[in-house]
Amino acid sequence: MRIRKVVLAALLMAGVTTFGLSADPAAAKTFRYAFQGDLNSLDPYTLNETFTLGALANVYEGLTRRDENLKIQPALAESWEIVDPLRWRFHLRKGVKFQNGEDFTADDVVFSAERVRAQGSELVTRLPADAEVVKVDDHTVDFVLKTPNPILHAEWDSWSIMSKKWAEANGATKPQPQTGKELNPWALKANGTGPFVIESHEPGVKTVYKPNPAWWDKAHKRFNVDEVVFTTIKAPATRVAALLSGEVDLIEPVPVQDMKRIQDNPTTDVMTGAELRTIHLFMDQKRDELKYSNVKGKNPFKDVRVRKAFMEAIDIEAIKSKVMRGLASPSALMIAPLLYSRSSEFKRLPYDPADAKKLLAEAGYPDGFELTMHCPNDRYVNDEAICQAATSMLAKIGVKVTLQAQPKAQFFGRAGPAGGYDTSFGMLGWTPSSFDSFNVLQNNAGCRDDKGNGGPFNYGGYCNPKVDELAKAILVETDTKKRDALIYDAFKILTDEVAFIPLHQQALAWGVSKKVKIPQRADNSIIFAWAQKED
Amino acid sequence: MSLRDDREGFGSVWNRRWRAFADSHLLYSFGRSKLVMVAAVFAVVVIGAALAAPLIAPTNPLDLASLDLMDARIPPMWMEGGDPRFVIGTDDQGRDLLSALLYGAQVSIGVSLCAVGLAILLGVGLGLVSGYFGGIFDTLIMRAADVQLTFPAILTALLVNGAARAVLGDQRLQGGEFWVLVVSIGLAFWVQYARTVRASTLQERHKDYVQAARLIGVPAWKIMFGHVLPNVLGPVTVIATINLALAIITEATLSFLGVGLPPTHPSLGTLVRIGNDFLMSGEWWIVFFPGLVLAGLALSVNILGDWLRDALNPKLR
Repeated sequence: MRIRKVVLAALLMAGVTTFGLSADPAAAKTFRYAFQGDLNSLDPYTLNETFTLGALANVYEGLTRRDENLKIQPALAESWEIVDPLRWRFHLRKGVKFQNGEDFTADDVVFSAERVRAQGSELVTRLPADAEVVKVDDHTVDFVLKTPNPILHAEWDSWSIMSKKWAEANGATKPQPQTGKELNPWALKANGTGPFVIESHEPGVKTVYKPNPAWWDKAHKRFNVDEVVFTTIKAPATRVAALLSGEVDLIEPVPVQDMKRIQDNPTTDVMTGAELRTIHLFMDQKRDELKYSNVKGKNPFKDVRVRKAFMEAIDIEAIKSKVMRGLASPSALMIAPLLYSRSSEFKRLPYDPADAKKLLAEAGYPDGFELTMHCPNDRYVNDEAICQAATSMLAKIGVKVTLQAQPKAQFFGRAGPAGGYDTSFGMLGWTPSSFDSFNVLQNNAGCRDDKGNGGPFNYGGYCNPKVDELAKAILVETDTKKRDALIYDAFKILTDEVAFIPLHQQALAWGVSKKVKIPQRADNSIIFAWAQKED
Repeated sequence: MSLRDDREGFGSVWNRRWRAFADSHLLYSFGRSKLVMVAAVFAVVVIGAALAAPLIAPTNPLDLASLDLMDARIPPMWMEGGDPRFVIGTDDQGRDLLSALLYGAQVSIGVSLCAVGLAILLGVGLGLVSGYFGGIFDTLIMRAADVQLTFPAILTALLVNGAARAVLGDQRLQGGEFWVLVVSIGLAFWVQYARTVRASTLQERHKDYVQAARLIGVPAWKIMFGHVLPNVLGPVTVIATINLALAIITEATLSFLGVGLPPTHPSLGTLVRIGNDFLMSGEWWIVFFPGLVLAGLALSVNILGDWLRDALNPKLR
């Protein structure tokens, strides 16, 4: 009797809640999407990560933007001209307002240029450190360079322009650092010029966006939704269940094992494409002694034979077929073939555990050694599983790896510049946001100091001045053929020295409800300002 | 009686004890319930197999060098695509699931036994002190117990676990995850013992044998542990058995949430977590078998606990 009452009460409750939800008129056109990791700081300079930048690109805008084919378009800058190779002039759009009502002016650009290069920002390389930003008048800004830079504005679509007045009023003049610790209160708020405003934000739980009624570019408005809700769903099976049940309209990434199921389901579909992200393993080559290893007094990774042995131990085809279920293309380079025309001239070191063992013995480690590997577990497709596979592959050549897989907030906070590169060996994925090799050579391979000045995403601290020289030459070279040859030389050094262990480019896979039409950009940004949803 | 015992010799003492046990209510009620017998057999088999894992497991899942990724996700041997090397299939890293299960059960059971042991040690000690001395000790210990009772055990375990990780740091924790789990689960469960033992001690304290012992000057600790403790152990045994089932589940939950042992060192909860990712994709065996063992083990230990409680409770006879 009592049980029956309880069941009845539970049913009633369930009925009330579902009714309550479905009867909510505001939820008429809500686009809901879920990602495996969290959206933490809303400061657009905190984390140089595609997902976070993509989420914020709906709220903040840069001087430029990129369309769905990644072509550069004017955004907050109406037009620009190269006055001379050392002076770029940007004409700012008039009549643009920030979401709090303030006017957008040249002061905001000058301020944002300072802030993006300040301590704590992860986007320091958006703008050369020695470039000077000069206000000409309220709607004209000059960028004065020390060296010519034909791709100066290539990454400016993800350099958000912030309001100077708002930042000053909120104490947000310095960027929120990516430390994995407390966020400043203002880092939970956003004030951009973009098509959406953030209505509420709870990191790790839920973020609600509403359209910005005062957006300047209504003529190009492509969305028809009244609300966007982002939630973090970490467990892959739960994410899939949420999509299948219609609880969310889009999930990213789709667990590779569940693609068929989502495709077979009548109301959902999988959007796939080639992604530009290169997943790779980095090795600390900077410290004189590895921080997390049993080898004392020296750093085994300083020996190219050890690095080579590590690469030869990785059976990339097994990872491709078993962990990624075919949805990855093994890569010899740190850049996707789509982004560099001469990629096919490079070959991966073959999988050869016997030779790897020999190399280790030659380097003085006949019995291998021990070390810790740091990996994110909610950032890339099957990141933890790939790292786990790598651990057992390395075990076969005698290297005993202890795997530490962490959520991305902790991982980036420790292994990245904010944590002082507190790691010896680990996994990282990189998409050059300028879609060009120079970005890779600068960010991943450029010599850096312990704070990350130089190549901030060079987690392993690889350094070869020759590569830096070549990168400098590549930056100013305008002849495509010559430029590609220089890039070839740089990549040749990186491959010969096994500066990194490139693994693969993961396939891009979104699970979407058939009610939703949204373009999928090859950089894997979810731009919901382009989302169309049927009733 | 006692004079004759001495003359009987060692062997017959055990013989007599065995007969006393055979005649007891405990064994009688055991023989009367088929469910209890099934539960006992299941628990003994699982625990025995887990303890003997290094001897009977086909492979050693902790030896990473023996894994081959190309063996990943092979279905159980009776299914299409199965491989006789892997009786109940492999997980996503090519680990033999049966071996992982055996080693995993060993970890789970080990953690749970140690945790329950720790909880008993803490709870019984504090309960005795609290009941025997009373006063300020009693107030302090019991209020602390009350506060802790307001948290669910899993929350306490998570709190302790998180605090240990923060204090030790990831690096120093390595290899110590087992003991962190033991401490966090142990600390979550001591309250029940303390309360039960305190209540029994309060009753026993005023009985004649305690008063007599105090009168002839036996020290307090000796009275507590030598005289009072044996008389309050009955309920503790019952709670311990039921708690063991809870501890197994708590360990699994913590590992499932990813705060237990590292993924390369499977426990039942870790295996369920790994398998959970493949729930939707048809690779059911990765989650099914660990889940089955976990559920079966927790259930049978629980049934045994229930039986023990009923059998030891004179009021129910």
